[in-house]
Amino acid sequence: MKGTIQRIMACLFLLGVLGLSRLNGQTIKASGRVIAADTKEPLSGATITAWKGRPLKALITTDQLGNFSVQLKPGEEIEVTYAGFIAARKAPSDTLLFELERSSNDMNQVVVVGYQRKQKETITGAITRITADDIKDIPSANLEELMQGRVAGLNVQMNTGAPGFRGAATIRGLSSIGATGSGDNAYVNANSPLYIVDGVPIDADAGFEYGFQSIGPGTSPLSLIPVEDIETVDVMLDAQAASLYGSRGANGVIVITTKKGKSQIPIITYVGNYFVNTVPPLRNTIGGQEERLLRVNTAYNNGDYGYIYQINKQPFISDSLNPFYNNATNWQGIYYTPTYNHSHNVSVSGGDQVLNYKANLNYYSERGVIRNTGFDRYAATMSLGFNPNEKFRINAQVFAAIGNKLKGSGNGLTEVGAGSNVASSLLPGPSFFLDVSQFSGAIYSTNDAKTHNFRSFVDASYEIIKNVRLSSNTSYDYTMDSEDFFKPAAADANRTRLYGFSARRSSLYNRSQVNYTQTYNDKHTVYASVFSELTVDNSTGYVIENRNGPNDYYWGPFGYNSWYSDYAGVQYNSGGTNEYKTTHTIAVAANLQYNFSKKYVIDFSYRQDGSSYAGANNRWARNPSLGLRWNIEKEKFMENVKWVTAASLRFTYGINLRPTSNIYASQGQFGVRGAYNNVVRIGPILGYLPNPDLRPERVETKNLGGDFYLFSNRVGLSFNLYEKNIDDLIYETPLADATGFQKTFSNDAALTNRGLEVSLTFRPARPGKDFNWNIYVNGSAIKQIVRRLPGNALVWYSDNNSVIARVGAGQNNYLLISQGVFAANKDVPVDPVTGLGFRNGYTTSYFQAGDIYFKDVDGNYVIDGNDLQVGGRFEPVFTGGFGGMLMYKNFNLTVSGSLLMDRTLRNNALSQRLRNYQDPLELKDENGDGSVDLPATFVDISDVDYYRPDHTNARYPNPFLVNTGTESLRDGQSLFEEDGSYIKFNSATLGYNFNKTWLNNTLKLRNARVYVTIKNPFLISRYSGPNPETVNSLGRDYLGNYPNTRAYTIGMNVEF
Amino acid sequence: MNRNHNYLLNVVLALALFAGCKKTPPVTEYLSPRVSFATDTYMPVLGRNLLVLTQFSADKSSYPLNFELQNLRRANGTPAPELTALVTVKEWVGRYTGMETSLAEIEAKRQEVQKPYFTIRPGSGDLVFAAASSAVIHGKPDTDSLYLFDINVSNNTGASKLFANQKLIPYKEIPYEPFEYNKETRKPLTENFQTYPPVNTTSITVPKQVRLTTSTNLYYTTDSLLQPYMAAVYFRKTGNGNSLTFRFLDKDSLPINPAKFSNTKWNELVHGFNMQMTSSYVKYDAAYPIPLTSLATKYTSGGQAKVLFEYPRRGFGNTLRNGVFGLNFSIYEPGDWEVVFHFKKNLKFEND
Repeated sequence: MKGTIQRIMACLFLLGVLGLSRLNGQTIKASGRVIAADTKEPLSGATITAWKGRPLKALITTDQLGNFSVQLKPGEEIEVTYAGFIAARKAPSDTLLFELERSSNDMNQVVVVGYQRKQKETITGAITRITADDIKDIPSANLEELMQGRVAGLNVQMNTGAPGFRGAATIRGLSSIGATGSGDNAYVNANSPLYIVDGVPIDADAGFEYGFQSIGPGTSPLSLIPVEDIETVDVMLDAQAASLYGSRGANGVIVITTKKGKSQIPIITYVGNYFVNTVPPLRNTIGGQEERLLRVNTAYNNGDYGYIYQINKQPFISDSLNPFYNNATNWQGIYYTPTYNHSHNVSVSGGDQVLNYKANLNYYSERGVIRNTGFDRYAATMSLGFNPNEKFRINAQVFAAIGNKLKGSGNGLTEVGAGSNVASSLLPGPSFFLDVSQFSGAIYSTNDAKTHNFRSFVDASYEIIKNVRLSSNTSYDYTMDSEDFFKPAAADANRTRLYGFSARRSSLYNRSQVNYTQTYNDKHTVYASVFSELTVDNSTGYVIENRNGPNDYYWGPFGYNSWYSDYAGVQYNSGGTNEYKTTHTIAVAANLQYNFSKKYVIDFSYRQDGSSYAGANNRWARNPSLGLRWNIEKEKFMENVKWVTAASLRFTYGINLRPTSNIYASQGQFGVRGAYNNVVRIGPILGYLPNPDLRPERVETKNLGGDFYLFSNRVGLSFNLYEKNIDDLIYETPLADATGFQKTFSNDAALTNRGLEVSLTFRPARPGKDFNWNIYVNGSAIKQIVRRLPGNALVWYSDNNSVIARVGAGQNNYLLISQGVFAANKDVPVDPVTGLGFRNGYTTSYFQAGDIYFKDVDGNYVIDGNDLQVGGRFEPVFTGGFGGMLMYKNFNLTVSGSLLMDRTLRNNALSQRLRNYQDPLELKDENGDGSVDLPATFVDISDVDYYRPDHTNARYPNPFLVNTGTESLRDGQSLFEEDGSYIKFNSATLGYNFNKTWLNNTLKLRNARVYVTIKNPFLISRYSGPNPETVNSLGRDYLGNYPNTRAYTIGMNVEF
Repeated sequence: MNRNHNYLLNVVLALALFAGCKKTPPVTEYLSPRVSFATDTYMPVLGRNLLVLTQFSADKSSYPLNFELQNLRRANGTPAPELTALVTVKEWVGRYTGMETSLAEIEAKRQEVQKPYFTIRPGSGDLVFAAASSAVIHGKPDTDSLYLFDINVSNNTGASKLFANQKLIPYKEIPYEPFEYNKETRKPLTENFQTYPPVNTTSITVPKQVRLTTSTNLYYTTDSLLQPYMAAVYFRKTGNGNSLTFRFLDKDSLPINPAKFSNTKWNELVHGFNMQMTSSYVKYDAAYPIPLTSLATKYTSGGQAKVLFEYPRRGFGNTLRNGVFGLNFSIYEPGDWEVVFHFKKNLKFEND
């Protein structure tokens, strides 16, 4: 690794020397000042570009007072561009004054699409840009969190508040059917988009699993990117935009560009944030004597003799004279604590037309509100750009980061001890052996989970002949994950647990490209490029787990014990597949664009991907696309329509093929299968029959879009209407025993996502010197229709029949319909033939007053699986965002929010809370681990409208009916379905910019700004649970979900 | 220029139309082609209100489903209107708990309704038979009672599956169980027993009779236990009332005073009321059938009524020999029924 860096540096140096020697010839000096036309304030950081028929290259940026000075060649003009302003062009002179008009029209922005820089007005695909200004001032370890509500069509749900973990980000809806896993651990595959960071694709899902059993540190590479270093984020929604990124772009592409040095004088920027994570309102629990009496009375009132007798066998209830059991422990108070956190980012950047450089150092430290959880990040970025002349450019970057995560009791995503199973207040018991293991596990476990990431690239290009440019980008990305975990004996059945994890992944990537750009007669512009791409990915990982060490102070090493230890130094599996793999992909792609006076644009692209993990008979995935764009405002008939500043229509069509990432699905798996005649046999592993004819999943997108800027850019409207057809989805198909295999994979399902995305921007007030106001609103409505299911089935169940996918419809909950609570025994239906009461299953669990009246769909007076019905949708139909900025003199106020409509949540947390009361003696095994559950706390339910003998007209059934089998409080019923719509204010920031002239004169600072931010200030929802967003991807709220906390930040931003 | 712009507009429109929307299938409720019933032959006994669980295997089909009986016919193909002829039966409207304290309370939970003999539960596909008489419905073995019918299973979006030629073979009434005759032929049966004390022949063959379900410590001499074949139970219908009488006979068919079974819990013997105990019988007012439902109560065991009679005596060697005998039974036909326990050896009540 060190060698690589040295080689890169040596190359750079050599190129620099060569390039500098060529910098000569006759030049003209040009200098001047750039100010905003409305406020007359100097614009610092505006880009000065040499222009001769087309922009030649960026030369420099203006200093803090808006001044610049450059050298030009004869015949060149100066173009000034600045984000948010309309570009201007003038002939060189010594006293230039550029007064830039403000713009909400982003048509002149340059966007990198398919690894090529293009002006937005010539792009046919659907792309939305987020800039650094949109995401500043909010400390976060997660970029996705900051993108929430910013882009119509990008749905980000922060379903965990655990630091360093990710929410779920999906572009244009789910692209798979069914839930994976079951029960509390069920989830839907979120199909993460592909992230491209400075031209290097990174897999945001690497080292991270959506399930709850995350192995290792589980830190996404995305969490390692310092937010302060990001300049722009472009979200590409449709197939045309994504097609050039190939198979991995099928779920959408997000292109991140980091900041670059621009100023001739080095700029040192410091951004510091101090923030407090506050504890959310905790659940009221019943403690001490009151809890004991409640337990005893519940048992007495409902139990038969045998049940009441059990009280004596539960010392934590009956042994009230034992001072050790005379507790009233507030466990939540021990788990939850406000935390004080900070982050610091220092960047040094500078440069001129020849050389620019940037160094960025980042430190971020956050502790979660649940003890023993948190995330620390150390990141360093160095980048260097060298453009010795117009022909040659080279950029290089080295990025190194360490992410250190504290995972509490284990996975950190859900906190079992703090959430779902807070222990009874009567605990802890009097002896070591009666320790509250969840507590000890969460608090006293020692966890050291680190991710080390190293990424570097060199990107060089050379214009060999006029208008033809060769370029090559090589990157290497290496990640090492390690975890050391020690659980004390008290936490785990009196056996210590030692867990070690070590994994590494690497990705070598090269892209070589030829570009051709030419404009004929100032009208016809042709742009063509061809590139090839090569990727080699490696990954491997090992785990060791030993139990039963001698004591809590000796953490190893100790030998493998076949009885107690699970495994020692073996490769780990994730999601049933072995993570040891090497894959190769190769791709060739071509792009041809023609535009006529930037009025009509037509775009073709084609990409072909070959991968070593694709089915042997289907090696290549072909991704063609077509795009059209019509810039209406450039038409003659629009010349007199003054109120339209810009208007355009876009249409794209494209196909992305997505090969399965499961190499074993197409290749099969061989393993050591014991010995025969003392010869070790290698044979196929029979679980899955490989399918060499497996086709890649096919994603076809049609997109019709438009962008309109009206009334001098004061109103902006952009829309996309799309249809995304996903075919050949890969599903497991069971096989007959006779084959010797259990399952195989086949291309057996299809679905369609249709939607409309609308983005609006307003400037209610005329932009002025002292007052500026802008507002944005965006929304996306999506309808998902399943077109085909495996085996041509019409329905598809997953997660133990709790999720149903139907052909012609989408995916829904599948549950019992609740029809209210039985007020009296006489209301319970009776089977007229048998005289038996309404019952749960063919058992003796008869319903009674206070039980729920489930809809008996098949009319047999028995509630069973036949009575399950289609319930609500767990995927939101409508997601959107809103926000705005209000600037008055030096103050500005920024607000951002997101909203979600038409989503059904299942309040399993409430079900669990009520169900705890049904087991006062703690005899049940709700978590299904084979042993009786640890006594759980009684959460106060006085706020719940439940049945009591004196209140029979209740919404919820009687939680004190113990010892019955009617399961009236089961979570799989429509009673616990609730509307999950919400409007959330993500953050609000109040900032103050110090006067630049004053700063410059007194403190010698370029810029300074202080601000306060509130993250998650409030949320409006009719949902009865704590937070409709902190639910799992199936829309289920569990007690164990890690809360999203409110955070208060004080920060400053200083430029030297 | 203008022409150009029109041309482009046309292209865009044409493309939009050409690309169009993918046809998506309509939502269809799923009815699996592999749905099945556990059997195609149903053999209900007449004279009983019966729910026959057909154990319909839905194979993940979506409910609600509609089940319909079609084409009810005799074996020769002629229609069988008697299967749908109305029968007056008692149906439950309240839930029987086994805790009712009077006949009136029980009867208040039932009401008489008119309904066809043979129906299907439309939602679940379970078969319901009303208590019809063999005078109306052909019942085995008196007549060849084979009926045929079809079950049509359909859902709300038009899918359906027909189960044709299902067989219905009703049996003539069996008024009580255990039943000592062959169900198929109603001919007397025989049964084999080990003889006691063992003599030359080790087993004897006797006509089948209803035997005691429970028989513990019943001595007819100091050291001889009553053998199963030494006692029989007779069911006799003596009238059309609502009563149940227990009688006990010795080997000379003379009545044994029920009071001799002094440890018997007479109040929990059957779910009957107004017990009258005389020197020759014990009589209760009872609701029929017995038991009323399959609910497990203190009067039942395994879905049948359960009676236990007990008497204590001091056996050989001063041991307590608690004599217990009992019977699990059902009576389906309402009436004044007598259950007669006939001991073919005289039970020893005296202490040893």
